[in-house]
Amino acid sequence: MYMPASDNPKELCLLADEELMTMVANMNEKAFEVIYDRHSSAAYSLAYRICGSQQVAEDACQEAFLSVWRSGQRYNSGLGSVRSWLLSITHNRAIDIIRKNTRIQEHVDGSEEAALSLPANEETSKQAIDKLEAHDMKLRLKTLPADQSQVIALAFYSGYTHTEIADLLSLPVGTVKGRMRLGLDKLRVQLVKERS
Amino acid sequence: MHCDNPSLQELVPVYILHACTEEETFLVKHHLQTCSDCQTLSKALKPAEELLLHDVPQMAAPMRLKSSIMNTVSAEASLFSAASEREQTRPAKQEKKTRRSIRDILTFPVHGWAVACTILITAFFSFFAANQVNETDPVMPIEQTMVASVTASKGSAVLHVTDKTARLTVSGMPSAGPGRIYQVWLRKKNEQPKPTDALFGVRSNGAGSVDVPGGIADNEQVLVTSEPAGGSSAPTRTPIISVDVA
Repeated sequence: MYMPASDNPKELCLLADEELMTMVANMNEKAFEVIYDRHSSAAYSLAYRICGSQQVAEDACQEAFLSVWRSGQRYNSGLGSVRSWLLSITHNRAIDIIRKNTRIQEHVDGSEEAALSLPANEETSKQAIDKLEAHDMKLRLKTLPADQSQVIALAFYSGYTHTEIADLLSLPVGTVKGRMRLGLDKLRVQLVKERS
Repeated sequence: MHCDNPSLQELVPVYILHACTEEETFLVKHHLQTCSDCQTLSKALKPAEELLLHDVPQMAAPMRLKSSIMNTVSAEASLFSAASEREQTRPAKQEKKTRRSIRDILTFPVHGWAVACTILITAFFSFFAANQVNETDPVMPIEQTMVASVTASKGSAVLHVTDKTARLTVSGMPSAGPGRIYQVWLRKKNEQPKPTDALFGVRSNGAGSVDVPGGIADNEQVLVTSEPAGGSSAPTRTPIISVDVA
């Protein structure tokens, strides 16, 4: 495996992600910077999609990238590509943040419930579904039937558990699970068709 | 072989979407370690998860995000570099003495053969024992430098670990406070942190270091809190430095 003798950015830019991660595992900040430059847009885009706020998305990305920096030695090719690994970490951090913020907000709302004109769950359901429609749906998810894309988006991009989604949409839990399975299967079939 | 737990198999797509409850996540994760049917299902659905990770409107990350991250990274890289340089400096005399001792031993033929045989037998059993270790168990390298998580308003810290010693080095940290000192704690899994005698302050530039007495073997975390002068028997404040060492 070629390893440049220097930390010349031009030489580092020629290396594959996996080679750079070996250097990151040895605390090479210039190699890490190349990784950041390559994948920051994808990570920030995902974080923003989940968090819906620039500041919160930045916090999620910061946590994710620093986690990659500090535990670079844990990466191996069995975990998938470096980008997928990084995006998984970003997804986890973003979901953790919005779930924590939801718990804090529920604690606040709980003490103000008497003052609300709408029952809490109806308002949350409307807000959650409106948020889905606000995003650019010219994406793969839009190719799925609406009932499947809705449950997948609520789970993957809004951090709801399947039981919470069932409550939000007033559906049986089994129906939610079934739609998730069907939606993921359809996406899988699309990918197989494209690759063949 | 078909899955013997259909209710958990039903949760595999939910697990892929990170939409399980905490308890369900734990159950599905463990189920996937043993059920080949569900492993096949999970593997088949994983590419769909990857697609979802990328399937978002693309936007550029703000420049301030890069500055913030790279400032922390640079500080920690400098700390790591300084800590590694210190640990690599060994007296030359000690190495010469060791080499001479080995040469002396090996000039006595009988003694030399006995030493060689002992080394070979030890190496054989070490290799055998190493291959019995569960692949999922984390393996602690003999020498390692780990970057700590710091929740103080500023500063960074690294922990340099060898098979016998551990040294915590901090940089840019705030003072522990008037009449207070930083104390190192060791925490085993599912136990409360245990105090150590490792107490330290920082210089005016926020730099400091301390050896963790007895090393950190069998512990899960190394923690630092600000305590009254002389230390405490139980933490009186939330840790401001933590390192996962398991």
